[in-house]
Amino acid sequence: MGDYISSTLDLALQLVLSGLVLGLLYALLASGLSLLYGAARVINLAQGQALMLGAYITFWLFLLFNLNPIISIVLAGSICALVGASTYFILFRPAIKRAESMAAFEFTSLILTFGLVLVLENSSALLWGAAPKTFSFMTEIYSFFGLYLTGNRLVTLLGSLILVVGLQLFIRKTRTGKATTYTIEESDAARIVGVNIDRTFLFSVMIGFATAAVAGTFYSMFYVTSPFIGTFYTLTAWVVIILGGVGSVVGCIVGGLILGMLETVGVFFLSPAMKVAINYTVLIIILFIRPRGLFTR
Amino acid sequence: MSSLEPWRNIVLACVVIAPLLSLVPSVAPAFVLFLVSVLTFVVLTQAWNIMTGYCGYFFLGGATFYGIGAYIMALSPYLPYHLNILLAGSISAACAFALGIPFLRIRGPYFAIATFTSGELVKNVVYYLEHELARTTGRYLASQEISLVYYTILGIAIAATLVSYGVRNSKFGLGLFSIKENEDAAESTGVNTTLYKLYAFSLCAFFTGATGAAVVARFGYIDAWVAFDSTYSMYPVVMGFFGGAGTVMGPILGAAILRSIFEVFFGGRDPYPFGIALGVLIIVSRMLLPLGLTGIKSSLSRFSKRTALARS
Repeated sequence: MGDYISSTLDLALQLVLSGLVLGLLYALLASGLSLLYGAARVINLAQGQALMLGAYITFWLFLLFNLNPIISIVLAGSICALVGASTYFILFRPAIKRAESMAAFEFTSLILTFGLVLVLENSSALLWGAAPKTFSFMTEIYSFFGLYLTGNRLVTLLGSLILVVGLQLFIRKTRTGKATTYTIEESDAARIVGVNIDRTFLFSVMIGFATAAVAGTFYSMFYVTSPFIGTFYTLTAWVVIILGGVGSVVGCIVGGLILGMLETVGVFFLSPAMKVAINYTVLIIILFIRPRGLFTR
Repeated sequence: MSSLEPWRNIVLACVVIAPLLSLVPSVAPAFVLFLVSVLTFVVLTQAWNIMTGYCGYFFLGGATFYGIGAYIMALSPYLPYHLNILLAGSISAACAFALGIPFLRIRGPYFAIATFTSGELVKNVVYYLEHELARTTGRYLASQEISLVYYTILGIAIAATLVSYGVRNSKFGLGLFSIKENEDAAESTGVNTTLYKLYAFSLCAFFTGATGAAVVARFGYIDAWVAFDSTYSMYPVVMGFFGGAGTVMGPILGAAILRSIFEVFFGGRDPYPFGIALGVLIIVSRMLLPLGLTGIKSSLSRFSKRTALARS
């Protein structure tokens, strides 16, 4: 009997730990999108595709140059931040300038990023084939307090935590970060008091793509990478934002953890095939109850 | 709201082109399959246009109703083909009416995300039910003559176009446009926005579901991945905006042109270069022609005005 209780407790804790890893990964993925949508009003359908790109960058750097994925965090993040910056200058900025209102731009951004999804997915399928890619990195199992975690998941747990907290500190403490928060809360007022809106938008787009790419680096360490993984992660990022509220990194942490736990527990008790269905059901239910998201005024 | 489209375009489309198209199976049977594919997307885009082009709700869930229609066709094999299509359309419309009550409270981008997610969710749940619980994948259904499918889908396309025209020029259509402009203002001026949105949503679902039922008879086999393919959610959006959202001719032009490009250059071949080309086309057309093909005139005049201003 005592054994039974302790094993049930162990199981519960193990599930919580797995949920924590997944939740922080989701929080990282969504936090960039949250700022991107909050500030620049870009409804990014390509968030998951940026994750896919980050995962591929990590995979190829590992395969070709035997580069440690932990270093790839910086590289994948920077490369995708540059992709984000070019997207901003080529697509979003001209579209914002021409749009009658930011609401009209939201529509446009949805179409533009959908085009981006097609370009990114099909380019990677053409370049690297549709076959799933994976590599083996830090697969040894660590145990502490009777719980088990593979090395790569431990890296994900700590890395995502550091990055999300770092992003929150950056938003709170620096000038650019404060300008971004102000733009999210009072876009017109921010313009009037002299916030450089253009730079804030650029910053939020770069952060949006970079966080997704870094999440992709972590993702590639323990999942398989293929060209068409993106849509699930795009929608998952939106679930997190709908749970946590737009424009808030802390909200993303809360939303990510809730979703990570729900998904882990759900998959354990139902079936791994329900992974996708669980996340989508959460999204639909929340929007049915609160059409504007859970924590919006 | 832009000016009403002249009758002659619609008359031209329905009275001149439609009889010509109806000759195709006897004159040029090689084109029938191609035209079925084009007409399918004409209907889907026309249906999408009622919800998004007229009512302003960014609808991204065509696959949900297309799949429901397809499954109704597969699940009731003993009904006559056309009755089955009618049933599929009606059930889709009923589903839309019921689902619309919670869905249509969602405004802005979340509506797009929620409707897209619903299609993906239904796909996964149907797959789970079939594969994990019933231990089957997909099902066979009575396949129909291709020419019968062709005439049917042509009929649905004409009906959808006429309905779209009718809606656009009615009080109902005016109500939908006012919802698109400003929903709260529409409500306060006496438009029953809830009911109008539900009607538009049901109409959209009716045609989408009927198309799913009509077209799936061509394949003879369906599973969740085929029936609820997200293509049916995504492409109508692309085609609608490419042709011109909120007009009657726009969806026809957009679907016909884009689907023809697909069929001619990439049908059955490596799909990836086409995917890239389509993505680029979407982006470029949105940047250069924000109003779509039917808005080409006003886009051009706006452009020339701007350059004239820049010169002066």
